[in-house]
Amino acid sequence: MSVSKKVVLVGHYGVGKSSLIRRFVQNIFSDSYQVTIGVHILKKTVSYKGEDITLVLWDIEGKENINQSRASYLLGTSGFIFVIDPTRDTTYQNLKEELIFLEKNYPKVPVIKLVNKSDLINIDEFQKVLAIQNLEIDFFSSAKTGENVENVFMQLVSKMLGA
Amino acid sequence: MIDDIREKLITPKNQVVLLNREGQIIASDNHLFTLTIGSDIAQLDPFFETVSALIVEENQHIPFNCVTIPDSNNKLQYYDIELHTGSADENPFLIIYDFTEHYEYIQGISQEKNELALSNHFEAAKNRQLVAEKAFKNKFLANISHDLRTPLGAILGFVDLLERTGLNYEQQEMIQTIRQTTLHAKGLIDDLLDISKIEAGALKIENKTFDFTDLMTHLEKIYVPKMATKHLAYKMEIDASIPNYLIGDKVRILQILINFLDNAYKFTHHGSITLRIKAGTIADKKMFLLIEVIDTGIGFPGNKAGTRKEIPIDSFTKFHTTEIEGHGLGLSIVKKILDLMHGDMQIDSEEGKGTTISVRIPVTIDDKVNTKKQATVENTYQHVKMSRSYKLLVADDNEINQLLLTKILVKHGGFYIDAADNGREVLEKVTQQDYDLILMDIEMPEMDGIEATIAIKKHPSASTRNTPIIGLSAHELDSNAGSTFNNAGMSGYVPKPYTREQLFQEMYRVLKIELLPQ
Ligand SMILES: Nc1nc2c(ncn2[C@@H]2O[C@H](COP(=O)(O)OP(=O)(O)O)[C@@H](O)[C@H]2O)c(=O)[nH]1
Ligand SMILES: [Mg+2]
Repeated sequence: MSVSKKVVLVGHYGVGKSSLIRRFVQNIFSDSYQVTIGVHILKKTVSYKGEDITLVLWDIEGKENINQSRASYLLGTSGFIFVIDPTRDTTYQNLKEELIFLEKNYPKVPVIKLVNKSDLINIDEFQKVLAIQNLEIDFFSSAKTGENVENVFMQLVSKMLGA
Repeated sequence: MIDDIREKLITPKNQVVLLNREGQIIASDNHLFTLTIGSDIAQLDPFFETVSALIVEENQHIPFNCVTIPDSNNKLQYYDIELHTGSADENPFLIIYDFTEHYEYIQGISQEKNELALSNHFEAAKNRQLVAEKAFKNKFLANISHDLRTPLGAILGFVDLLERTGLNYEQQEMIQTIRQTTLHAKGLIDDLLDISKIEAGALKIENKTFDFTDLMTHLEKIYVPKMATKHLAYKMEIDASIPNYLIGDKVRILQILINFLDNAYKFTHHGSITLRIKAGTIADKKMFLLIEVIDTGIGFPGNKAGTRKEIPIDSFTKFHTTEIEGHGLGLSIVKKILDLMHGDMQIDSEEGKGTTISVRIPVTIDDKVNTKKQATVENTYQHVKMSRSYKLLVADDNEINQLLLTKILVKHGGFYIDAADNGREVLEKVTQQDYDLILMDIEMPEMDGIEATIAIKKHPSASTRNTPIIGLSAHELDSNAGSTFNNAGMSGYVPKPYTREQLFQEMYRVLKIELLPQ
């Protein structure tokens, strides 16, 4: 019986949460946009330090604020991935407040801060944008190219298990 | 009845599943999902993976709305799921409601809403970027054209100075080319500045009182000699009923007229160019200046003879840009300025026959200062047909200048040219034969131009005495230089360096072959 961990992807609609999960679990990507409503759960078992870990990935409907999400969706979460879209500044304008909200309501639950759609931007330029706004980011990924997707989840696994 | 309805429509839409504390199925009505007793609920969908962790805590009722579970065809179905964690003597259970229809409807709305929001976002971003890029481009253009004018002005200034430093003929020719090229560049840059101003919305149309007659006189001064050098008849038909004081943008009106007249000059090789200005009807002190520039030039290709018709301004500009020298900015600037003035323009053309550009420029009549003075310019200038040739004597000690002057005169045509190197030689020549005109350099060795003139005016032969003389001098014309020449008996004066136009204008005047009003 493997360990199972609930992971929730949060962030605005359209930032690529569903795409990241689909890329990670099924290794597919589609350019067409299918709006997620409610919640859709997929899982994937990974091995970490010789142990099998089942990641239960909650792909929830994108909201402008996390506290608008249905409380039950976030129950029992072991790790968050906060996804932003670098081509839309509205998706990271209140990133700080969102992180504070998570910190307060889900203390000790690790959060990975992720810039998705890195294929669409010049990463160096965007680093400057982030620096100006004093925002810290853990990863740049692209669900489209697959860049860093695996690493993001593995990093979260190590944070969840290391905690 | 009610039980029937419930049985038929509601019961099949939900399912109750009884679990043990390990999350294994104890009982199920299987209305929606066929579940096997004893199996793990997590096998139904990963959603249920978390259930076993949650049922640890008793007496909880946790609703999960809108949970997506794909059916066996991978079609998304939507359920509301309630988890009751039970207690010591009550098993946990789940109630699953199938709300697929309802949530599909919601999904459709969200899809539309989000797509719209996204496309609005990107449209807005694209627009902002375009606006920013355009503003940057215009600012850059305006700055660079402004900055470019300064060095060009310096080049022109030094060209003038260099020209007076005793250059040889070849160098003089090259200096002329440098001047022409620099002037051309300056024209282009002025146009660029205008364009960038227009694009940036920075070009403002002035509304000030101006003297219409002055404007016409100004044009007359520029174009009478200019057209004559190309043997073109130049007619100005100005409606006498146009009030003298008008409110409008004099500089821009002048720019428009100069543009049209220069174009006509460039594209007309024989015949005439007419500037015709009429007053439109006056209403509430406002009127249109109805302006036509009519040439007998090359016209617009494709409009064969007898098919004179209107040409779209863009194709006319394009034709002039690509087919003929020039940058074609001029007309587009005029068009834009006219738009700003709320005027309009039309081009009619016929290949080989000529072009007529018509514009309407709105102006306001300034009543306060409109005294009785009326603009009455009605002149037709006809370049002399050179019914005979004129015999000229060119006097200059500088061989190069002699050559240059001779070249200009030969190019013009209609002159026999003789040359003298100094005043004494001039005297010898005029004694031997009669000349229609002497072009006399002032600074010459042995006998200068003034001395020679005085001697000629005292000559015993009347025909020699009466030979008109035009003085040419590189000395800056101070206020009494003109009268010095005049006192000596010269009929005219041209300062060096002179343009062809200046020279010929003075020659036509002195020889009285000048452009006579018809
Ligand atoms: N270029 C690019 N497009 C992406 C990427 N990830 C997602 N998308 C596109 O972004 C849109 C929204 O993705 P989706 O996963 O539905 O976002 P969600 O609302 O956060 O679940 C879709 O059209 C995806 O094809 C990425 O890494 N690169
Ligand atoms: Mg989604």
